[in-house]
Amino acid sequence: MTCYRSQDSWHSYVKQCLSDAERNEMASHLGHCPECRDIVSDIKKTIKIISNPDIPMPQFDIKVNIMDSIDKNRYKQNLVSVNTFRLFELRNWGFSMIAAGVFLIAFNLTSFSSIIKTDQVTELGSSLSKQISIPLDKVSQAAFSFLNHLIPTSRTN
Amino acid sequence: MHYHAQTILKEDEKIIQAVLIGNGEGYGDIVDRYQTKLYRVSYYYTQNIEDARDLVQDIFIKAYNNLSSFKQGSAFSTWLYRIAVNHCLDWCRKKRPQYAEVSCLDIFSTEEEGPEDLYLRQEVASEIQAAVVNLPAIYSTVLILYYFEDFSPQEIAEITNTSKRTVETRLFRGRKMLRDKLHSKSSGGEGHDLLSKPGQLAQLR
Ligand SMILES: [Zn+2]
Repeated sequence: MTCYRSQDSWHSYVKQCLSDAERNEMASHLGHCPECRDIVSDIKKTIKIISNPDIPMPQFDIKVNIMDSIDKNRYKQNLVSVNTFRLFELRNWGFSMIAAGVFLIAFNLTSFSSIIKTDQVTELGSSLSKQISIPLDKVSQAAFSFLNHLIPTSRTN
Repeated sequence: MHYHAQTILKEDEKIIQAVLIGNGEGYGDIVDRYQTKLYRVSYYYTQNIEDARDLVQDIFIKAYNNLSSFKQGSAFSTWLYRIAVNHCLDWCRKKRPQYAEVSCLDIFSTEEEGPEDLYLRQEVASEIQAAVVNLPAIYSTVLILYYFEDFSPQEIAEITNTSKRTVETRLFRGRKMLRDKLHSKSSGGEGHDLLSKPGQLAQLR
């Protein structure tokens, strides 16, 4: 009694879910060990007698009750969040475009105003140059402050 | 066989992915695929149709509500069976009535095949189920999955979150306990060894 391998993977062996090497090795042990042979034979007999027993099946529909009970929209949020993310991305792109446009305008106006300032000081009166240059500066300032609104991080620099 | 298992795995995964991005109706396909299997497991633990039905419904609803915790790439069936077995064991701890003792098994002491053979076989089946489910939970679960539902020790290890080695040991001990239980019930404590006589249960020795 009590072969050192009596507690081996005989249940796996019977269900044929071992590697070929393991299986061959165990089969050769069975060849010279009546005790382990008995174990395997007992497991097989038990399977034959009690496997897949008949049980009374329900006459009612389990599925209908389950499908009525679950919240079918539970994972719709996942889809919504995916879409929201895409929308958010799109909005960011839109903002970037507007920001780029405003930046270009601001840049152009600033350089334009400085050209007018230097040229007009001699040819036009100083009052005229102020009239032209001040509004242009204000426009560029407004443009910059709009830019700062759009890109909050740039405001800290 | 291996190919078949892979196909099931892929199909399950496809359905789950669809459910997880909002196709709630798709869960009906999962119910179709597993309701009979899970009903059977639940029935072994409850031994009655109504409780088994309630358990299956609870298991499917629980699985649906926790679907986002299922790790894609692993076997969905293992995950589902794990929920099912745990739910059944919870139920047993809380609600299961103590069964009446397994009644006389001496009807199996004869080898004669009578017209009542099928009826007797069903009786044997339900006696054995009752005996199995009345064993300590760690043994009843491995016996149910291995003998009744044809899982391998490796699969049982994954479902019950333990090692294959442990499952093998529990199968050995569980089968011994089952045999002793059926033996003592049928002998009626009178030293009358029915299991030594020919018959279906005698083969369990
Ligand atoms: Zn041996």
